[in-house]
Amino acid sequence: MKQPPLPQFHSRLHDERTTTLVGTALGVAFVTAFLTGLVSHVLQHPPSWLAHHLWTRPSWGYRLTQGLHVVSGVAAIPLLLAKLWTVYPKLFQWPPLKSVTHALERLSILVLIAGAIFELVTGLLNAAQWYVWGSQFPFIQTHYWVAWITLGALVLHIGVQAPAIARGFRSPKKELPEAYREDLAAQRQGVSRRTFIATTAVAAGTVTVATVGQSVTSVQQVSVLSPRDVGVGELGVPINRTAAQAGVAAEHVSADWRLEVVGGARPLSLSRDELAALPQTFAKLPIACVEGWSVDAHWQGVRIRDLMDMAGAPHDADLRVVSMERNGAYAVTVMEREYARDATALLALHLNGEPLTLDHGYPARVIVPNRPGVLQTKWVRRLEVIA
Amino acid sequence: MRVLRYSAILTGVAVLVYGVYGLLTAPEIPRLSGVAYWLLGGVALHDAVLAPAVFALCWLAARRTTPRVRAVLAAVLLVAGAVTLVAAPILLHGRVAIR
Repeated sequence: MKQPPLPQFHSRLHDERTTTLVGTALGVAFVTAFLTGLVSHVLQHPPSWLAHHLWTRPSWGYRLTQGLHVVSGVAAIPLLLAKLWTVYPKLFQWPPLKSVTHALERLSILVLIAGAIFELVTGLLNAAQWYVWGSQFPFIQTHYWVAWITLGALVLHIGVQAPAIARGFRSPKKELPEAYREDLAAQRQGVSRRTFIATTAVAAGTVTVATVGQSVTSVQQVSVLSPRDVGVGELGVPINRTAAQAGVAAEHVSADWRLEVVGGARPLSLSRDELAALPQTFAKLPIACVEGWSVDAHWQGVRIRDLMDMAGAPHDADLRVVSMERNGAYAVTVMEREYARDATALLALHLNGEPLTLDHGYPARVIVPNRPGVLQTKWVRRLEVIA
Repeated sequence: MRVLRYSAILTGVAVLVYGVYGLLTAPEIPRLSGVAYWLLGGVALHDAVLAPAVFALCWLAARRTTPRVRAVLAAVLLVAGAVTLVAAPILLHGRVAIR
């Protein structure tokens, strides 16, 4: 086949060394995002063999890992753009397919790039709660499975490119002084590698600082691009889903609301006043959302384990938490005994010194250390002991 | 070194296949056309729109500017481009409502 006219690329920066350096940073960002994403997935949907091996300390664990997840994903955006820029000429290599191995390798690159772009785009949009994909696919499961595909393609890519990566890491200044001087002279004509790498680092740093404020509240002022203002909202804590969105109306939580604790030897039915008359516990625990925002808050309420003991629950029982919310995948959730027995796991009645508002889960909500925000059930109706 | 390299390749293939199998069999994902559309759409947008636009700018800059100016332009393009992309959801959709 005759070679058609293909675009020519003259920059010296489409070389192995630049690609290796940018690629390493990108790889670190992707592996960080993958591992922290895995942590989040396990905490939200624990497989049965892990369900009783999750820990509640440190209480800010999920806050840290999920903050890192979003930060590494955001930082990966300029890194991926720079990486793709360096290797873009390879798209026009000729002949396009040399052998079966070569075809497979190019296919794996397509998978890697498609997966990487998909993960960053859907993650960024999800953090902004902009579900552009509508009903085309469910975010959680698709983001999860494409992450495995992307990580697999990444490890495969590192294996295939290992010799080039090894060459890229060698310092040309020490090993090839001749070529290095030549390279340097050529680079004077354009942008130097040092400038390119530094610029990429500055771009990654800028987007990180511009968005990290939703998890690190102290730098919130400079984080002009974070999709969330934390520290604002009722009682100083943002609200992800309002009572209206969850289908909870004021009449559902009227004065005759009672908390039921069932499934133990002594079923309980308590009004809010009766709950408030029980021994109260204070805890400073963060709310950390899967979208990356998090904020510390002061909670007051009744220890969940005290309620379980009063209701005659066995010591090793798990708990099913039933909310009054009508729509949403987390209206009924399981709280494993490791969480339920924690000394700071509360059925909270107060937030930051004030009674809960309806949008914060009035009359009573769950707050447990080191758990994703979606599992901090609001508008609790019933606690069912799973014996 | 060779052993390490081939085990990376095999591990990568195994993890990739696990991901594809999970995606194909996940009960929550009934139709794959939507996922495929987004997967390939991202690559197409980058390779056929974004990258050619950037390379066209590079070509223009190489003809019209001095190396010193070019370095500044490249820095501005990468930083501003990344910030614009990250800000796009907020610019187009608005910040998550403060409640």
